[in-house]
Amino acid sequence: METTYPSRILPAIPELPDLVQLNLLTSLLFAAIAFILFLFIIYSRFRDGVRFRKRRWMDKKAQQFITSYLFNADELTASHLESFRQKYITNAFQRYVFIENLLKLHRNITGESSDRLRTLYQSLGLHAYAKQKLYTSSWAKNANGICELAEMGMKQDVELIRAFINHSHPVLRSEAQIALVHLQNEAPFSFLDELEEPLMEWQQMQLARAAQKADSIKIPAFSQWLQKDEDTIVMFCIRMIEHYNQYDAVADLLKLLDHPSALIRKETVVALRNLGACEAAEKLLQIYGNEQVTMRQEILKTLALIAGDELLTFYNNQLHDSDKGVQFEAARAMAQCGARGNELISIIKNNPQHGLQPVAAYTLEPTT
Amino acid sequence: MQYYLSETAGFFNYLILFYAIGICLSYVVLSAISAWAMKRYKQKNSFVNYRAILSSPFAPSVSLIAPAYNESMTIVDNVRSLLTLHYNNCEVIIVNDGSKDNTMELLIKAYELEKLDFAVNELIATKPIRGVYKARNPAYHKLVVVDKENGGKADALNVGINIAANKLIACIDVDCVLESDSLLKLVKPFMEEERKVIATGGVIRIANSCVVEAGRLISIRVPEKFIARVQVLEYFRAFLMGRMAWAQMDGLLLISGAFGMFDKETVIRAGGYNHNTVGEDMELLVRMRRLMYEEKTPCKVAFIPDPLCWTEAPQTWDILKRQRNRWTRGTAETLWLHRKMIFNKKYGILGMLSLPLWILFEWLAPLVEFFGTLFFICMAILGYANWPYFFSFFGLVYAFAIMTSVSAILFEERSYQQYKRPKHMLKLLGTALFEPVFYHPVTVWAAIKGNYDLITGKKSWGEMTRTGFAQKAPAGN
Repeated sequence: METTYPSRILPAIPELPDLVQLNLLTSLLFAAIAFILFLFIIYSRFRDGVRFRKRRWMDKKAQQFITSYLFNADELTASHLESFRQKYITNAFQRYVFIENLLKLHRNITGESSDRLRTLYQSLGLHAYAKQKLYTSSWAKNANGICELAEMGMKQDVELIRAFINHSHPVLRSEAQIALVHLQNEAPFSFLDELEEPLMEWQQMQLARAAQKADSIKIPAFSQWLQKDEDTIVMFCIRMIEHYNQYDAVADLLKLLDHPSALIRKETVVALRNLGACEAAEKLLQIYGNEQVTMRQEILKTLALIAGDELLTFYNNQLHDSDKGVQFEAARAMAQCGARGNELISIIKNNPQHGLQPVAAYTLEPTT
Repeated sequence: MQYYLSETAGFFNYLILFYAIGICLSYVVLSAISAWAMKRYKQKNSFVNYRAILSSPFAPSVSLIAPAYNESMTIVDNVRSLLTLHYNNCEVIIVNDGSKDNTMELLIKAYELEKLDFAVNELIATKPIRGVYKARNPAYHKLVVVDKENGGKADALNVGINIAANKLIACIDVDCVLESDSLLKLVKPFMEEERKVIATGGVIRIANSCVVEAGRLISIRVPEKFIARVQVLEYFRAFLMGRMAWAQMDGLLLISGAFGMFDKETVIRAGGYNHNTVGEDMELLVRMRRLMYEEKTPCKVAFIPDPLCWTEAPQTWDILKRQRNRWTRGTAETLWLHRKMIFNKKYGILGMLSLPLWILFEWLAPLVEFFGTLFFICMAILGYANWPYFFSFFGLVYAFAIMTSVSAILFEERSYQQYKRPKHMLKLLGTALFEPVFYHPVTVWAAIKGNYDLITGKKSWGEMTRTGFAQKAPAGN
């Protein structure tokens, strides 16, 4: 009798039907994989333990060395540095732990000590290692190298970093942009001129934070990028104008109220409100009728803050809008129009038969 | 006759074998995609500093909505825990869904609440609201409590959506314990994607036997009870191996009702939660995605593998059966409501892959198992049972189940390693050995009962009694 493939592998069960043999063989395969995975879990735990101990050991060495360099730099000669480098820095894992310690400390100190750490970084050849990372094909290594160079203030590498601002990987280009904000004190946002990729909200937030944290950088007039084709860059600039109270940009912001993107128009209205741009009232009234409900609510909120009592009749008319959100904002705007506005809202509130009584009552509620 | 019976048995043997191979293959493919996605996520996340959101004026505002029904045992602590979550621009909306106990009174007293003249913009129709309360004490300024007539979880969530002032809403079960940075993590996908993100979900973990004090997770432990321990494995498989992969393929159909974040505008346009189904979480997401496809708006549903939310799993067989019964009905109802999408190219991967596979391997699997077993029993009674095939097939399924569970533990080990002690890991491995024999048949039976109840028109949620986290787990676990 001709033997089947499974029975050739499992000669002990040749008499069983093919299907059964196949089942048994597959079961054995699954069981073997399960066992290997189990061994891998055990190995993985063991390896983590070893790494943890090795890391703790290297942390200690790094901290000792950095501390002695900071406080007794004169006693540490070039040969000391070289011997430390040879002994500890040539190993990739140990180097990684050392750099981590160095960066952590550098983040928390300023002045002379910070400069000393920078010197140590370069003396140990770590700068060269970081630059090497920029030439690898892994985006994560590139980003890592950029973070390191930015943290250590390696201004000479700005052009190398700039090459990544339009990279296809969002994390890498974000790190490159943040690094440029850190390293270019005079023109931290000049990369916006060359930026073609979108600037997502997360990146915008990181950039704003980098600008806030960076030492003595010159904040530019963000209105210069309001005409960019990429909507997310325009959005970022509107937010930065608002954040840094760049009142000079109001004229440029007003032009954006005619922008085709509803999101940009909405963000502009919010910025005008927070800037307290009174001159925007006329234009806002002009566009009000053509806008969607959410935009109308924003316009009402803004007008309430930037315009005077003269718009009371306008607000009163909006109270009868079919959208409840618009009614709320109109009522709030009226309540902010001094005694007359408050009186009108109170009359509605005190009339239980009035269709807008709940809206008026809510508007006058002190905790809302 | 004998010939036909024998042929039929052979045919079913092959049919079931191919079905099992299909399930196995789908698991293997999903695991591979998930492993890749997880690695990518962790690499990307190594550059993230979530604290940046805390101090940023650019961070989006979030409304946290937690429906509460008869939660007097834990409500005060749970609300306090929600108020201490790390997120600046956030309001916490508690919706008391007509509790029969003193949940509302406890909240009023603990948080010094006072009733407001509140007008609700009813964007989604709901049961009447009895009152809206805010705290007099500025320390609780983030808190809004809504008292409404009982209408079920979906209705309570809809009330919260109507009240919510912010553009993102996070819906949670009030008895869940959230990690303090969970909101920060859930918000990120909304800020970083080029496509519009309509929802984000995270991993739900089992909190049984964990030490929880004042609504905060103090110590993570493996559940003492076998039944809860198996659910730890089930959740590893579902979240770390399944949903991670589906999200990667843009085919995610479900964000757990225990904790998820949504774009409010899309939720409202989709019509909010459906209170006519017991699977309101899955149904809402499918409806939102369907709306986006129909409007031809590119969108994304994100999933993050970080453990964000800890919940108490059923600890008794009865409660487990009720839960699984409800899940089955919820799944079947959603699939039926959106049957138009199935194998419809217009709905992309959702119509062509997610929904068909969901029907084939989620809804149909227990039915195939049950009727397959029934068929085998009939054959055995008639003397046509193929015993060698039966045992070898059982061995195959058993070995595969063990392999999948061990893989799931490996996923956990290589990702977040929440169970630090080797003893915990060994306990889970031991549990994996018994799950297919003692636990799985019960869930199959519950699913069968769920389908039966659906056909006979049963609509109830089924009481979910929880023991709460108040008790401390025994030492030495």
